[in-house]
Amino acid sequence: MMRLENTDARQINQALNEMRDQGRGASGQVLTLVINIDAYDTDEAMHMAEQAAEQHPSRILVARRGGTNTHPLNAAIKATSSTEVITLDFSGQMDRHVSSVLLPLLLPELPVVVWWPTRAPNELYADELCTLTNRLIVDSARATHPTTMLANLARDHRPCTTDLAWARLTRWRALLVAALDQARSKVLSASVTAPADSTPSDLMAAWLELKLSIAVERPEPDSGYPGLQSVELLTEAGPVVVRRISRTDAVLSLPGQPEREVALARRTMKALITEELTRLSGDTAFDELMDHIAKREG
Amino acid sequence: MNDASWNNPLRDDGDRRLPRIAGPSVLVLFGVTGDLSRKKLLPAIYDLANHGALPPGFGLIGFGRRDWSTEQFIAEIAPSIRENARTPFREEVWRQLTNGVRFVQGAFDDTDSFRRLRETLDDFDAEHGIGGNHAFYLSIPPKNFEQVIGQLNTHGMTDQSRGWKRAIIEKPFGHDLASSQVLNDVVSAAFPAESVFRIDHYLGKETVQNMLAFRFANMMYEPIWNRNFVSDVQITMAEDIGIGGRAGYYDGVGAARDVIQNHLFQLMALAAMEEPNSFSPTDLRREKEKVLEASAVVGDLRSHSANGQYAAGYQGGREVIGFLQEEGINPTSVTETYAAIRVDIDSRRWAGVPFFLRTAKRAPRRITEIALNFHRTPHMPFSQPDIEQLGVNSLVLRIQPNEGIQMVFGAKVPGTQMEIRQVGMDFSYTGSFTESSPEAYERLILDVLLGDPPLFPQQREVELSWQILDPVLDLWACSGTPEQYPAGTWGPANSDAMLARDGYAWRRP
Repeated sequence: MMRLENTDARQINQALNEMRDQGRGASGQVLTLVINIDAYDTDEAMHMAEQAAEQHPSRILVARRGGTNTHPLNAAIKATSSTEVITLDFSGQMDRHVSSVLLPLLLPELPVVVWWPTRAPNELYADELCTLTNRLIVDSARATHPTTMLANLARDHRPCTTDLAWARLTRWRALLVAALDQARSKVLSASVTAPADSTPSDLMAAWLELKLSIAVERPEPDSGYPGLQSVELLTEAGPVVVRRISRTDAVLSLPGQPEREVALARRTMKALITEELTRLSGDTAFDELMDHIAKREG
Repeated sequence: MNDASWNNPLRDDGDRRLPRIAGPSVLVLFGVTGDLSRKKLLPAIYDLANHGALPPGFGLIGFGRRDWSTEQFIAEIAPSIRENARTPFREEVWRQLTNGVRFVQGAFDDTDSFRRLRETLDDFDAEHGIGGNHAFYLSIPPKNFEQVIGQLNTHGMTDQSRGWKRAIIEKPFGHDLASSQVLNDVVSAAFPAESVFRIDHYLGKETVQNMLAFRFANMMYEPIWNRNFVSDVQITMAEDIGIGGRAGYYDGVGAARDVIQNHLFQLMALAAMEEPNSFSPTDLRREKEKVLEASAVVGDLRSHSANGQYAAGYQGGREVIGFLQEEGINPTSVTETYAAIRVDIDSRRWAGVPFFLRTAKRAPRRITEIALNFHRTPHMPFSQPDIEQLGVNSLVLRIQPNEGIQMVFGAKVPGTQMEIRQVGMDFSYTGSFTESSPEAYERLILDVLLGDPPLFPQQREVELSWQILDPVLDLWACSGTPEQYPAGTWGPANSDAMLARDGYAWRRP
């Protein structure tokens, strides 16, 4: 780990070159990931950034915003054979010139992804980081007001912006697709049970609405698991139900078949971010869904 | 309700996030106690379940001679799955998978056990809504195929009218052209051609698919991918191990049948073929077949083939015995453990470019690669001492281990007046992408369950491959004991001589 106090992008680049000369630099990187967190965010955010770094051969720029250091910019560099993690602490007025530091540090030509692991700005596309790239990852489920955030995202949605709340649903959706493959029957109605303010559940309901062209009921849950608890599709043949029973398991029931337990572990942040970075080409299914939500709300 | 035209409204081709999930189905595994099942197949099935690629209620039926109950069978396979699976072992996934596991005790010649298999399948279908979709994985010696397939037929388990029935078979696909045709007759008597999946696990490896992407998604390689620039192509599959406990299988088969006929010819076809119109199975196969049709070992067979047997020696710091001393090997065996051939492809793209294919046991290290060596620069504005250390440019597609691509070219040594030396530029797939590559068998088993055949060779390719190899095998059959090469070296002297005669040299992989 190399620390640079009261520094600038030029010194950081120099330090990276020196590390490379000494054989400590990274190679084979495929993207630059900018992670935007607040200086007052807990260590959790930093921990998530490090988890992401573990997994991805990339240059990771962790921008910690709104600090109260004496120096406008401090940096710490950590490099492995495949990844460089550069933590940048922005304080004072430097906080309004973040991209001037980031721009010289982006890897040439390779894709740039900006990720807000916790709170994303209200006016996402007005943020200065959006000048660096159009590939944005936010997480409405971790916002202060998740539902408002999702509504704003849908209203302003642009292709290549994705929401980790959507990635949280991939396993659920896969299970429902497989279940319907087996039931082979027209869906008449559906209900999604989840506590209020769970954006993954909002997305699930909207997805079913869009794909099945039916209204989706949203009953309140009677048990205390956080997040999405059950999805029920009432088909002509009978109900198809996926119901969470623990952090790792769910129960699936299909018409005319015994109930069975299926694996449905809550996904780790590492798994979510891996899914996002595997497909940088955008997600048309999500674009359609956001359109649908915007129209419905609008 | 069970009509084939039913479309799942939740499925969407544009939804790239959803994993490819197999439809409701049962995989019946013959030879479930074998090495391949324990080390590769069962772990791959677990990994698929862990990815959510298997549907809930997926069935796995083991068929074997052991007197096991289903519970005993599950307890037997659990350790090998824990040990060999690529993804972490998760209890909830294991529970889900084992709910669908059954074991049927029986022998291939026992009608009664196939009746029980039939009953188990019927019960499972009824209980889990499988719809009669069954895949039969024949991980057994080919000599048992006729018996097993006959039994399946007799007991109505190959009836395609309700759900699909697919057969998965492994190499060797015969031991020459004639025997491969006989084998095919046996299999196709019960399964139509599109329902037979021949597993060549090399084709399930990511790198082979990466090769298609590398060749056909990029602009900069196509212009040099021909005789104008390429001087020779060397395809190597070397193993550091000996024959191990496989004496019974290996003696009489040998390196050429074991590796060249399938893996190396497939790699050659993929490297040499023209661009297919699409990656549909038919288009892809057509291009591969064109290459194989145009390929032959030409000229004097003796000077364009080489074989050898490893002799006792030191391999990588360990003393090892020679092939003829291995347990279970006839001391006068003429089976080769090293095989190399020169193949010429009669096409506008490749005329005059030799493809050297070699495979070896007890080589210095384990490597599979395809190397394209380029012509030397026609004119060098440098003096001879300057380029003393400069070899030829080459492009190496590394299949295993450490899948990747290496480019070898000349660069000036810093600080010297002008001294040019070979340098390598390396790209590694595992280092550059987030998700670790799935095991070949994972991909292939899922492809079988989805009925997606582009990676599986068909009978025509198998036959064409034998046509190329048969003359060489006939020659070797009457040539006596192959030349000995010390274990831990890159093969016998006659192999080096084979290239030297034509003005080439093997690269050291």
